[in-house]
Amino acid sequence: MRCILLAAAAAVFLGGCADDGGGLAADSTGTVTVTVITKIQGIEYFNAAEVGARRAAEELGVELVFDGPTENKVDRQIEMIDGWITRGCDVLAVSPNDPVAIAPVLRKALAHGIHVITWDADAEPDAREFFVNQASIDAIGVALVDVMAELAGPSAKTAIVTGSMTAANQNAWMDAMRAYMPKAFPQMSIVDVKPSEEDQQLAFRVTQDLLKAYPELDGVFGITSVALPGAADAVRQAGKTGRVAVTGLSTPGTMREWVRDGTVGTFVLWNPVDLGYLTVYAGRMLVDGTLTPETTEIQAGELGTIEVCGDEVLLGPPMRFDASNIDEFDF
Amino acid sequence: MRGTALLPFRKELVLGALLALLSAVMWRFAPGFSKPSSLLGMTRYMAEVGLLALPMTAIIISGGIDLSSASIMGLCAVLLGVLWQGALLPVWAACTVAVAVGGLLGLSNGLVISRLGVPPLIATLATMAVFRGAALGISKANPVHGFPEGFFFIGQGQAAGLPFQVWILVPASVFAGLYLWRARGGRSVYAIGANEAAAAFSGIPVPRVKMLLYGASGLAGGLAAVVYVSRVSTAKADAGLDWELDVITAVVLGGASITGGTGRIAGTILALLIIQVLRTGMNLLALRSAWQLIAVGAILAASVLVDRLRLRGAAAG
Amino acid sequence: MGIWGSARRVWVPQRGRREVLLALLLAAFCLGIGAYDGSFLSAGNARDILVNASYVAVVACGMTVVIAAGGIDVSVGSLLAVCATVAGLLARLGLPMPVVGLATLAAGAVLGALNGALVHPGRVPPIIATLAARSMWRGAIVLWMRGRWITDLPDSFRAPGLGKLLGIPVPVIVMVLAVALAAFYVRSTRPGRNVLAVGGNEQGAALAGIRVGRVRFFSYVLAGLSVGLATLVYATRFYAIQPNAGAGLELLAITAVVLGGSPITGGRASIAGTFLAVLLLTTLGTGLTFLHASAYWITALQGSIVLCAVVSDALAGRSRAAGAEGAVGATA
Repeated sequence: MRCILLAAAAAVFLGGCADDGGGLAADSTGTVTVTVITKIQGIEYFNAAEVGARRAAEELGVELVFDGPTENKVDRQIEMIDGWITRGCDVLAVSPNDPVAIAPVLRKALAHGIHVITWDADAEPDAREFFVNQASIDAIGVALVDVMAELAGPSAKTAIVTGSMTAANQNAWMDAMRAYMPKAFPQMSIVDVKPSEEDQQLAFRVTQDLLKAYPELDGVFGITSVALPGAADAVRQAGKTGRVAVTGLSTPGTMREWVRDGTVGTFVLWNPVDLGYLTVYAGRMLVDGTLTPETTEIQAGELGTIEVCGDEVLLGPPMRFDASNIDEFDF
Repeated sequence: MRGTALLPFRKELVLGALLALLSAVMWRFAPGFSKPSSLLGMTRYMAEVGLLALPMTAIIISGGIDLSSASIMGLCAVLLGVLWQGALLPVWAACTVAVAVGGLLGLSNGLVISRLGVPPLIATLATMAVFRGAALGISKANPVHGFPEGFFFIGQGQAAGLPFQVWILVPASVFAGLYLWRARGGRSVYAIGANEAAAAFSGIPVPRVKMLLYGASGLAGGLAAVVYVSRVSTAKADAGLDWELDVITAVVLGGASITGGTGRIAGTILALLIIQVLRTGMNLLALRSAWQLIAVGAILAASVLVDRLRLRGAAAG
Repeated sequence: MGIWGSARRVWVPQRGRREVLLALLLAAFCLGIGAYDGSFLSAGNARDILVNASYVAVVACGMTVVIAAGGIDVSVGSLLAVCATVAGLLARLGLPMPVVGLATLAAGAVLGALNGALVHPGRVPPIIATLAARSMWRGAIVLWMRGRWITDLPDSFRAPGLGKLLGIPVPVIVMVLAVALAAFYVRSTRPGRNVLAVGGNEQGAALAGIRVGRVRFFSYVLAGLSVGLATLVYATRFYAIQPNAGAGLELLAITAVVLGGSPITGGRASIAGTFLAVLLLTTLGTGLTFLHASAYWITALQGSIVLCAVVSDALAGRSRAAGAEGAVGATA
């Protein structure tokens, strides 16, 4: 058996030496190649982004690879990106799990002549050319707090269910909320923050526990697309619909149930399909030279005119979803 | 019978052949695999798991297990960050303290296991949660960055054309391999794994050897933390998160028996290389990353099955 | 004996002692938190804790059997994800719930059988076989479902998860039945006693005419079946099936089994201990929230409590070490 394996290995090896060894194939056909890396696979939010990205790729004639690690860890992303640097592509669009840890490999990509942009979550500014941002962090924080004030009143006691305590963008949104809240609604407070680690069962349980530990709770923020439905489920099962307001960030498809029955009045997001679409457009425009540091706006296909502020490509203000518009979307 | 002299190295030869086969396949089909930067770059990703896997090999040979070394890595990473950030210590001193604390944490594992007699699986299952939790608690999940440029040399730099990780992993592996092969302490590890009672009766200071092993595991955790933080320029509590089973996979793939008594550093290193070649090659082939999970699992199962079938064939024939 | 314990000092908790310790810890913890915040002791809270614990308890029962037979299964988390996906897909096709339920149980049993086949006759060490399975099934699910969640489940799907019988939530009833069945199996049935014999003294069992390989194989089938059953009281409580479900379940189940006092070498199974351990671990999580403990320290606190429990037991066991030597499974 051992001999057979060795012989097979030798044969393949010799065959490989005879061939060119599969060198870099960057752009040999002239098609622009765009690689989009998500934070993790298995989240509806990124699945929606993929829909938009593929549509844009088809419109632009771009070769698209859309992938992500199976766990939301930055070191897996670093390894994947390193592979892409070796393999070669024209554009790398990354939603990093950690803005600083991802920076060295992104800089390496830039040094290899690959266009690097970030989307959904940012990295260090000198490690990428542009950040395709769904909405400014402050705008997201403001929108969330405003919605809660509308649903639960300006002196609500609230709790936050986040994804992971180490997630940079979730922490940034919470910081924005904490900065805005005392200025706009001094009586409103955040009594506790709990992680749900992108697990539905955990989101359900921590919300359930929060409802019991803080019986005077007026509102719960679920600020990831997994945390919000879990929190809503817990509020509903605890029979506190109407008594405790639930809002946060998630996709219409996931939240339809709860908006219909009133557990969640309004929630916030942007359109991840559009975000994916815009990301591929931005990537293509970088390659074409249409998107430069001096650009102030771009024409992104169906999305029309998109504002560019410095090195940020802004999709638009955060969107509110409620009973009146939730059925219009299929993501 | 041909090759009887090599029979004790049977497992390593199978692994070596598997590695050669995989490398050849990747060389042929994966674009860019043959570039020196690719090949050498693999060592950067192997280094931290590799450092953890070296003492883990010895521990598993001795019949024990350490589920907490990856958590020690996380805690040491946090300590490194905290010590340096508060301007308490210059970065190299912070590294030394972090590594030393790792060793102490490992020794505390060893204490609970050898002196109190708590089974290693249970003890390290508990300390795994304690250490990881402490890392999270101390850091409040905040990352520490802004380390001085010179610090990144370990994780991102090169020496004599090779990634610096090579200069750490190779000497560590050689040392570990020689220790297990030649040193008296090393040989006693095998004896303990084969039959602990007999080893004790023959005068081997079993508790002391165990303390040493778990201490080394903790030390490796600290060292891996330094390399990791240097590589990703961030000190965060999730360093090494969920790596425990990856490390064990490498060790058992490398041929160490989970019941103790057999195993070799060479096997572990070959296993690490196999897993890394798989991952790098599959990344380059632009296969969806979930395939890597399937591939690693399949290789793990297949290597043992092949081994068992050979045994059966040899016995029958 | 290996990773399961030192041969010089056989670490076998005295029968019944561990269970009492766990029950006392549980009571002390509940009373302690109740003193701080009375609402912790409400019926509603107790009900919620039991419902949340139900799927873990069911899986842990299966894990107890596997460990008692001398093996281990680190793939249960991935198996849960597969079973949940099967259940969701079948339910979405419109199949009636009883059919979905049976199919899920069957799926669990088949997955368990695959693990078991690797162990016997494959002769792959259990930790390797189940490590491989864990990795492969996790990858397969992500690829198969392309990361999508399964939504638009029919209302009937949530009947087992959210339903009540005589005022008691169905998951709790299922949990209690599963625990009772497992305890009965292990104590009073021939196959159950064979499991203990095989785990306790393999050669002796073989000499006594027990088909060791088959017993081992079947213990994995049972573990798979328990995962299938757990799926029915887990996935049915939510509105969508998540492909990443079950992450970390294996370590939780193993912690429960070892905390519950079943020797990790096998040979004895304390279903009651496992059950109490699951309750304790679940209550811990909720209780710490009631104490307004910082989310950052919860993992450390949980680990510390487990550590204290095992260390205190070991310290107490030292004084009985001499007497225990030469007893169960001391073949080195």
